[in-house]
Amino acid sequence: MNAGLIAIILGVGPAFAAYYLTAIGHGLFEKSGILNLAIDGVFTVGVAVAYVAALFAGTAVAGSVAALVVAVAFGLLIAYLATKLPISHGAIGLSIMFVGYGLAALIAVPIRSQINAVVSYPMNVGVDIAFIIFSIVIGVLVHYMLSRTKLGAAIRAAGENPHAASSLGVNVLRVRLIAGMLGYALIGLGASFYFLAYTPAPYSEGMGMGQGWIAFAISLSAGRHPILTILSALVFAELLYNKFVLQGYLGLSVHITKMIPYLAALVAMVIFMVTPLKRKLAPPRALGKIYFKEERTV
Amino acid sequence: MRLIVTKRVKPLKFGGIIIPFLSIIVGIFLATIALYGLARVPPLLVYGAIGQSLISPQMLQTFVMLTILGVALIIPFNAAVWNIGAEGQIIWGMIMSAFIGLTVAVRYIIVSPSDLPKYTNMPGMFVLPTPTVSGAYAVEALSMNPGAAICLMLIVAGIAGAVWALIAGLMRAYLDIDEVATTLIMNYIAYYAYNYIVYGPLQGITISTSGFGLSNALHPALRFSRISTATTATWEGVALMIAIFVIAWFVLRQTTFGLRLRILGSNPQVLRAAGINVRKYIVLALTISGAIAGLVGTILFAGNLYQLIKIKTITTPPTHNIGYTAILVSWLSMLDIRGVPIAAYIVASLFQAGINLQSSLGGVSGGSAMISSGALTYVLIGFVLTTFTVLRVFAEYSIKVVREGR
Repeated sequence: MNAGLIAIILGVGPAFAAYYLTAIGHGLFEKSGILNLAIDGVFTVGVAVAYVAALFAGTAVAGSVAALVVAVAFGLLIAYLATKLPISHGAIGLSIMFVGYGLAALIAVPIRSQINAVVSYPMNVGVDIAFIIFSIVIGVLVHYMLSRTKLGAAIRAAGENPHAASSLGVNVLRVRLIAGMLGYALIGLGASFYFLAYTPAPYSEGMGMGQGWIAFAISLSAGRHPILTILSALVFAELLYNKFVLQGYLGLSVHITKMIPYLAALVAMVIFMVTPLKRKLAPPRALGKIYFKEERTV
Repeated sequence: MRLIVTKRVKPLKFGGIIIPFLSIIVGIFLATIALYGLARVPPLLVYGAIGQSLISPQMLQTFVMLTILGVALIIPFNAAVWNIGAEGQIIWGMIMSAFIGLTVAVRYIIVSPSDLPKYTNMPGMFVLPTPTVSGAYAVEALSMNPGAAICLMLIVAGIAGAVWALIAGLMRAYLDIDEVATTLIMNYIAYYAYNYIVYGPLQGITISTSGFGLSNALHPALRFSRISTATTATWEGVALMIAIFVIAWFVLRQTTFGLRLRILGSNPQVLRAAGINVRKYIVLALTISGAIAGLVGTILFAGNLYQLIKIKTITTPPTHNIGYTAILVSWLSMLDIRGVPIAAYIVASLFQAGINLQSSLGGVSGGSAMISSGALTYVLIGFVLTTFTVLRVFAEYSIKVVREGR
């Protein structure tokens, strides 16, 4: 194999890391029983924060850290509201998505119009490999945590039947706050990699919008399983990373190549639902259900 | 000190009125904090823009479209089917209206510049302002009765919106795939399809449109008639709004179909126990919703824009995100159709406020003038929605503060 081909194969690293981390973060949060529809809004905010923070600190790592911190704040807010109050998970998620779209523009657009520079991660094969290894290690850790530890058992219990979990001594609120924190930390990290490593271009309004939904579909089509998500994230990342190849070889219009990931997202969700995968990797039973005891302390 | 949440025996009195209004006030307040804190937008400018838009005649067209869309969304929302895809359905309505209005209803006569004066004053002829690539001019001539053409535009747009929503409806009803995700993802597909079409099949034939992501302009005889010069609202749009509102009110409130839809939203088990095909109702709720949203596409195309214009960035589609904004309308109405026009009036003001605010940001230093009106609208509707979602709890639950002894 020649070096050029290796570069093309490994060049998918940053895109893979961005989508994979976002998808497993989303899956981890949903395992705790909270329907996560705010993902795209927070992803968009994460991109904006990563851009601004990296620019001001002069290093891309600062951008990732800032995006992580901001995303965690959103995750804690969503987990708290959806667990403590009898409100619709869908409604709070979508509302926060809109807030996110708006805030992202407020954060990044004024800066962009004054400073014409981008700070990003270095781009070379070594960095690409580092991104792949880093994200897979995180994925394995998440899988281990969910399937082998007490915390993981508590998260899954909160997602399957929070009332039963609660009577067995699980503090549902605390568990969901932890899941929200960890899940959104990964979503923030993924958003920062999306901008700082995969598409480091001068910021334009709406950057990252829609990518959260692709991560949503990546996670759903792998049944929220961190290890299986490696496969679905890789397929999507290759599809996105090689969109210019698709354009060139197949002679597709640029608008159609931009549409393909979204079509693939729909197809992936259908495939998951019509195959036995659905039964083997069923969604958490209490996903999106309001958790409310008749009278309770806030 | 502890807080206790208890379900009320009866819903809060006037909760349907107090809570939406309180949410709007608190939400706007939070939005101004965010606008000032992050982008140094002076709060007075925000309040001024909102106040100005409450009485601005420009918001009338937004009000008309939001009322129709509010009705479109309230039908599936009552059935607990969440159509977040009105954007995509409107886009397809626009595309199909343009297809009828720019290809089926007119034919193009190519005339040389020297013959042009003959056509400029001929009745029924519409000369496209710039020449074609070959230097000749293109004249649009009606090939069918304009009234029939407008009806055809509406019918085809309605069908297009319905089909687009039907896909998500079938996926939800038969495969149990969350319609929030599918309808949202399909909005993006519709946006890119729209761009493909304005650069492809429906691109204009003149030098200023072909390849620039613009379609030809609609023949003036096919354009809706404006109510006055001060507003972009049209008689046809208002007539459609009233007709759709009355029919939807009747269907939701007075028919078994409407009753079953509402039961589907509150207790689908009852319907299943009664032997009713729940899937059919899920599909129908989404399809009807999509059809009405598709009509808004025609109102937007034939009433306002007269031309398909490419989407430059995803935050600024030709719909100005009105399909998303309409979600706020139907939620603020507490899913009661009688509340839709009131909610639409308030939200139309907020929507217009985003546009007004954008144009008044020119004097603000620090680059915030570059923020699009779409993003400003997102900030306003996002904060109002979030506040409303939280405060809504108080309509059915009470929260008491209990002081601990000691």
